[in-house]
Amino acid sequence: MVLLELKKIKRTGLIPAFLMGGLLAAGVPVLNMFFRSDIYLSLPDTPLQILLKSNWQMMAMLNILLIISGACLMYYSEFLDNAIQKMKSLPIKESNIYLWKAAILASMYLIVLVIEAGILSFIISYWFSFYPNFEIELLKNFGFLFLMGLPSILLALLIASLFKNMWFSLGIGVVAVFMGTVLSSQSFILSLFPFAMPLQTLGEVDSNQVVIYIYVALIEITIIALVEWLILIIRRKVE
Amino acid sequence: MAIIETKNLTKKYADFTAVSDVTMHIPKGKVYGLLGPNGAGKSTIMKMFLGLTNPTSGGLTIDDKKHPKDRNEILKEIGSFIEAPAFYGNLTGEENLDVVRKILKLPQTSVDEVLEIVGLTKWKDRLARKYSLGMKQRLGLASALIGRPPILILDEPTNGLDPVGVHEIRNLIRSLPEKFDCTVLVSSHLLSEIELMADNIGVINHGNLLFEGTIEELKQKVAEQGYSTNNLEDTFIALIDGDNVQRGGMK
Repeated sequence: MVLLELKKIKRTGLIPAFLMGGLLAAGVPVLNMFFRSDIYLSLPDTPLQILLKSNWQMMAMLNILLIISGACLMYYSEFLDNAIQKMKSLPIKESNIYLWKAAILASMYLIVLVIEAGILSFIISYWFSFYPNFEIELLKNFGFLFLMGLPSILLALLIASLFKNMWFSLGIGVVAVFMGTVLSSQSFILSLFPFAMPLQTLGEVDSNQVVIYIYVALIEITIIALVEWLILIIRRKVE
Repeated sequence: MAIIETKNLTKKYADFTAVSDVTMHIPKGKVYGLLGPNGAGKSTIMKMFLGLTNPTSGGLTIDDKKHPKDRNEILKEIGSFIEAPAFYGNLTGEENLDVVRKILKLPQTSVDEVLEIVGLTKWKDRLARKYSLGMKQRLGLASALIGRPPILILDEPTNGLDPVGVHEIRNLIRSLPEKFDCTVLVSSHLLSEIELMADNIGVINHGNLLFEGTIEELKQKVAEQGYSTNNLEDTFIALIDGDNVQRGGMK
């Protein structure tokens, strides 16, 4: 059924948008190194941490904007010609449609992260040099970044599923991203806001807080999915 | 034998009652016409049959099954078309039907078959958003008919069709019980249309079922109430107006 959701996004431009967005975000560290490599080459840390510390905020913000626009586009195609009503009258659960969309968006986010990891690896090979355990460090960091992105994927889809008018969900999402960006630097608690989570990198989070971030991400994923399920039940009662 | 039955079915939205104590019996293998003016509650009743909205009170059984317990089993048996054609504009007509086919786990041939039935084969590769209103209507009908479901719920299916299209779809609906061995519930605000399609009719106004039976029984009822039965449209209007006057003079 995930394949069915994939079919639904045909010709919406979602896949090219994610590929282009991934390349755009990956272009940030390339440009940074191209113009200011002297500064970064002299910094004391592993090359991957240097690149993430200096570029990830901008890259993550682009990633979250991609997630939000992707979620809006996915539900827009459901609402535009009332296709969602047809889906509701077929023997499938509406909550499953939400979960399949989440699976697709998570896969697209993973592809974006793979593109970004690939470009960072290229930068390291070109301006720095590979070092022992680089692959493991890369996997750990991007695994963490993937997990941190999941709550925002579920929340973006929840918001998109609430409004037939895409501009409402897009507007709320964009405001939430900017709030998340500002709030994440204010305090640890505020950095746990779903749209602030993807801004966290393994290297910049205190080692004793890493586990907390992982648990909170898993709890947020569960809570957001449950809230969506409850919304669908309530909507059926009041519609 | 009734395949769909409701008992005191009621749907309220805050202080507005869309459907009030409706008790209906839709016989198996017949075309049942649900007739009523716009906003009478026809679509709300159909939505409750599909589980798209929950009744406030009362009950309904479809082929001896009940919502929400047997939701999936009920929806496997029903092909529906509610209010307006619902489709993905970014997909072609054929791709839209393929989405429905995959959900219903039907063979690939069912798409071609239904495209042929509604006369869309020639335009199957065109994007649905580029379809004319009539073609969208046919696509909506096709997505209801796919897989030959034993129950069809069609809400104003001839809206937006030209006279030739109306005639074709009307004949198609009329022939469905025999062709597909199914039961059809079709709604309209035009008695003249229902008259040509339905075996049984239900007349609804302000959420209340005013009448249930055959056209002949309807004529007999209004004649007993002193209204003219020469013109069926007048008969229907007389029945609705009579009910409106009883409710407090709202015509």
